[in-house]
Amino acid sequence: MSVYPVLSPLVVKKQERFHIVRSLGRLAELWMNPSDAIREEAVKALIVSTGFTRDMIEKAIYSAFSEATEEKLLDFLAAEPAFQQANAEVPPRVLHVLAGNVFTSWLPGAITTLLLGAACDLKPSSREPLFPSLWKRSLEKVDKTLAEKVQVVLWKESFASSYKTVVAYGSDETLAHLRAKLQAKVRLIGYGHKLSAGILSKEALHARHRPALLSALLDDLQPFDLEGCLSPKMLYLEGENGTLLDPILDGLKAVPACKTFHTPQEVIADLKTFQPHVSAVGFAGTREQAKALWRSLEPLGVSRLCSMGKMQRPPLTWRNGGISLATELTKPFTF
Amino acid sequence: MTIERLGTRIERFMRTNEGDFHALALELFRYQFDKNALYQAYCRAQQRTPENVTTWQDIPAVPISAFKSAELATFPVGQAAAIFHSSGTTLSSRSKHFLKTLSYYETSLIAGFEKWALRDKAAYFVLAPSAGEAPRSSLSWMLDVVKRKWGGPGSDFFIQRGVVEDLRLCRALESARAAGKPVMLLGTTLAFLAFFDQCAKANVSFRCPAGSRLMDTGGMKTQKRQVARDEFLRLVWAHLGIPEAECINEYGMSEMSSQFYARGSSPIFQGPPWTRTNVVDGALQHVDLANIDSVMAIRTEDAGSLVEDGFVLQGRLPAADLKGCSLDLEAYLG
Repeated sequence: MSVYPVLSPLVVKKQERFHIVRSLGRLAELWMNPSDAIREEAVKALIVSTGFTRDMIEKAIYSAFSEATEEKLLDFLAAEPAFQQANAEVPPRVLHVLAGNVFTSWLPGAITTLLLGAACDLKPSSREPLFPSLWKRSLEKVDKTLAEKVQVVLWKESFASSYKTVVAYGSDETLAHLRAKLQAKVRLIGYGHKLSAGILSKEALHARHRPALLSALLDDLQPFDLEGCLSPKMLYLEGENGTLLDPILDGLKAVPACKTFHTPQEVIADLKTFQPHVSAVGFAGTREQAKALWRSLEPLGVSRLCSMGKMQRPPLTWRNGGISLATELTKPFTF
Repeated sequence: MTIERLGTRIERFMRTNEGDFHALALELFRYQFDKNALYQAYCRAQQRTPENVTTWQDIPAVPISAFKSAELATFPVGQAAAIFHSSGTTLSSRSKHFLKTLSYYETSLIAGFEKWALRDKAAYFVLAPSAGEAPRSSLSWMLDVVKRKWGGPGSDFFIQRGVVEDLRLCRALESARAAGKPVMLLGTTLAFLAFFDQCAKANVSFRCPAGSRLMDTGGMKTQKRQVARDEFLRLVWAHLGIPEAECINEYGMSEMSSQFYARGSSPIFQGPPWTRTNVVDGALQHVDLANIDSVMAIRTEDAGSLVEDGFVLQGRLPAADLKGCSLDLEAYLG
């Protein structure tokens, strides 16, 4: 099968989409099954290629695929207006240019592309070149026909004009570089530099809740050695300093900056200084506090507020960087 | 072929400089592929196996960071004769190189050092912690080996608890000068710079006897301080009176059993014939047959380029190249 895209748009039928959901759901089951041979082989390979521990890799895999079960895929279809559009046209092939060692970050984009019926070409990072091929191989086991829609490709100069749409992950500089390479008619959907933060309320820091909080924090801090855009680079502690977190921070390869705050306004003011790069905010506190916080964060452009411990598990419905990929891919082309 | 026989052939290569690198590399790849499940999975994921790898350039190189996360050994690591750690702030951020025996490492070290750096009949003054003080440091072990093998009377380590023993070293240098006996100074670039700083403060300098030599290592790798090679050589001349031609820069790492050397102001590093270097996506990749019991092909985080008789080190890859999506300056070409 050729990896070169054809340029006629494509419409996917509802029935086909449910078939894709079923296959992708089975794929998620495969990756969440620790005794699956393909998964085990992949974990071993990724320990070498990423430099992450087995524990970290297994957690990353679980986080990514537990959000892509059949049930969650159906929720995604229901929640995302782009999937409701009858006769929505998408480019037949979408090129995804992948980032480094946050090796699962591109999965939601690839899944969205397949759900729309488009073929998905993956240009891996030279830093972590293996996971896209391993994912494709696992898809071949589940659904050979769907797997044929996925190609792992090396960059070619012809890519500058041969795709209608390119999805890319990387720094703002990388995206600008890529934009300059691509012809003007090619639509670039870029996921650039991001960072995330955690806010810990006085209530959550209380001795009674602390063990649970520390455990949740570890789930957010440990994956990808704080290199992921969903890893909290800053932790804001209400009325406390970071020494409270020493029991977990001491064991980490990379530690977040810890800041003390007394009013939510202080946090908002500080986060403002990082805009437009703040991606997600994790929060530990009461539901009411979270609601109030969201009212301040949303206008800042923060795209996600979640409980601490869930930061590395974004749902498919999350609009990373405020972008709905499904909507972007179904937007009519105007030149 | 058993590993013992393969090991014997590689060791003979290291002793005699005569051997078929290519054939040995492919045999060793087959052995490491068979004996190391993690490496095998890594190779299989790239669809590279002993059946389809036909050149040393095709042998999958592991990223150096894998030595932090994986036990890259062809034997149960509980049987390791030595475990060398890279420097790092926490145990989890350090590489671990498991060696079943130190024999291959020692043979490779001695052969390489003898060819490029040796100054015998000299007192060896080592600006690094002793192997006793830093038992997991491959550098300390290496310098201990060469000191024991070639160091004359007065040879010693001159770093204790991370600090250069300036006064003791000054006394040793002064007595070598008085006796007119050449010295061999070995250590990290940083340690030499720290010593030169102290010399400058105290306004002292030495004229080491003719035939003295200096070998430093690690200059390009530190984030704390970096001086251009020419500047370093100027400082060596100013403070020790050792000319450029007698200065050797060593490039090695705890994950490898062989070393590379550059002389004087030459930026070209050369290695022994049982090593090969390649550049992939701007990063240096080394194949070292002396890494018999771990992984012989390693992709470093050092930028470099190949020249006719070696390679030129161009510092570290940009830090962002090594990071994830939060900081990634991902090279998407290639």
